[in-house]
Amino acid sequence: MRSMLAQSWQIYRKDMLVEFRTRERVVTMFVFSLIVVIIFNFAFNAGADVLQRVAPGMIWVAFAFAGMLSASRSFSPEKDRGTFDGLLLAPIDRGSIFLGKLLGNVTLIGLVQLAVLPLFVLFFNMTILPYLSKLLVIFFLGTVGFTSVATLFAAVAVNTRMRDVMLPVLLLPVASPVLIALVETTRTTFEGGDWQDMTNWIRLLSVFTVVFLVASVMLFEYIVEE
Amino acid sequence: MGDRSAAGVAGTPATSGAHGVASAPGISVRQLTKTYGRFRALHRVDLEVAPGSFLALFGPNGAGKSTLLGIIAGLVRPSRGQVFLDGEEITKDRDENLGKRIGALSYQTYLYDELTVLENLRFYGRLFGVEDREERIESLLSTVGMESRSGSPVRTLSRGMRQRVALARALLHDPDILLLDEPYSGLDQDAMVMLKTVLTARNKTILLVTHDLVRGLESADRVAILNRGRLVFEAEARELSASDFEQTYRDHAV
Repeated sequence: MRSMLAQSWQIYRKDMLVEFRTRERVVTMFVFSLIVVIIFNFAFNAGADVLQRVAPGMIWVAFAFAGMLSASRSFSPEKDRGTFDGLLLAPIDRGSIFLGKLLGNVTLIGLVQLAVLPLFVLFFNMTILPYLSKLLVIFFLGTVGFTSVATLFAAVAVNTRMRDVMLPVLLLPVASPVLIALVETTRTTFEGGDWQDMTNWIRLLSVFTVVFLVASVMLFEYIVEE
Repeated sequence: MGDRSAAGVAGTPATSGAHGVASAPGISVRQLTKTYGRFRALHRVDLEVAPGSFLALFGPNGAGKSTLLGIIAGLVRPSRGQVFLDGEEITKDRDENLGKRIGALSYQTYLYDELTVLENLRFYGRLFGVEDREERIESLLSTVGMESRSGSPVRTLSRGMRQRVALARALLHDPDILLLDEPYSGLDQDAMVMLKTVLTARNKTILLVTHDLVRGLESADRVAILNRGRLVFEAEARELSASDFEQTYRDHAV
């Protein structure tokens, strides 16, 4: 397990170094999320009450699609340039490739969330400071859960001819429970609700995250083999 | 024709190669079949590469050469059949340590354009668990004549230079087996000579896939031709002149 984590760390470090040099993914994700905020802000020309009710949905639409962009781009350049075979040839547990990629995607989505969330607050005139600790837990759980499935399906889709179309087709039906749970828990938090008010959703989020994280590590080896 | 019944049929003890060294493992391919949907890329291929020997595999585009290398390297799962390294089956369950024994060099360099030569080699060195990494990288960069470009991003290198770095990457963990898929791609004359020297000087089991009949015949102990997924010819390289082999290739693969 320790060596698996060390191998994942090497892959994560390499991915972050490549991203630091190109800024390809993080800029695309940020611009996409920003556009969603701006468009929705103009589209829902309604009162503050309505805006606050639809805001959680908008937040997670933006982050879900940004997450799909990140997951897809974490595999497609490797596949196109042949470097993915270089990783597969290495004497490592292939689950560690998945974990390295997942960690990279979570980091980049986390960075985009850090940059875009204050803009949401500004545009939608929301207050988040009193609920910050709750939101951090929900965002962490949701981001890891959603990104696990997105990373796994991105690895499946990258081997198909219509990979850009395949990823949302495969991912969104499977990830919808986690997206619904995220919208519900975020809405409840914005409405001043307590943990007790969202126990079932948090359980669903936690179970989904753990199950998909473990299953993805185990299944990855079979997915990447031709 | 040096047909397969005359020379090293799968399952029979193969002749020791010119570089013959007992420590390098032999490769044994038995009844290997790979299908993609209805397309049959390989059909019941039997092939032996003796320990420490050099086999060059030829064939037209789409013959199944790269698929065969992919299966031996553990990148592609066969539909049927087996691959053995030193009598140990590697196609049943993936053995993580297989990567330590195999070095792969293909027309794709497996290098990251955004990273420097040194960063690429350090990354692969860590993944492959190479001990005394820095010394090994330094020595290999010197061997392939790229020590002066170690700090250059790979995207700034020419095709031939990338291939030199790729050779250093393939040899980094000192593998027993080298799987080479068009390794001469993009190399200039000096680099080709260097590659040939590196390959013949090292005591490894080598399986080379190439379209370059002359160079393949010169370097290898044995040659084989694959066509439409079937192994159609196999012989000792020393039994064939270049012109004979060109004719044989035309007869079997064109």
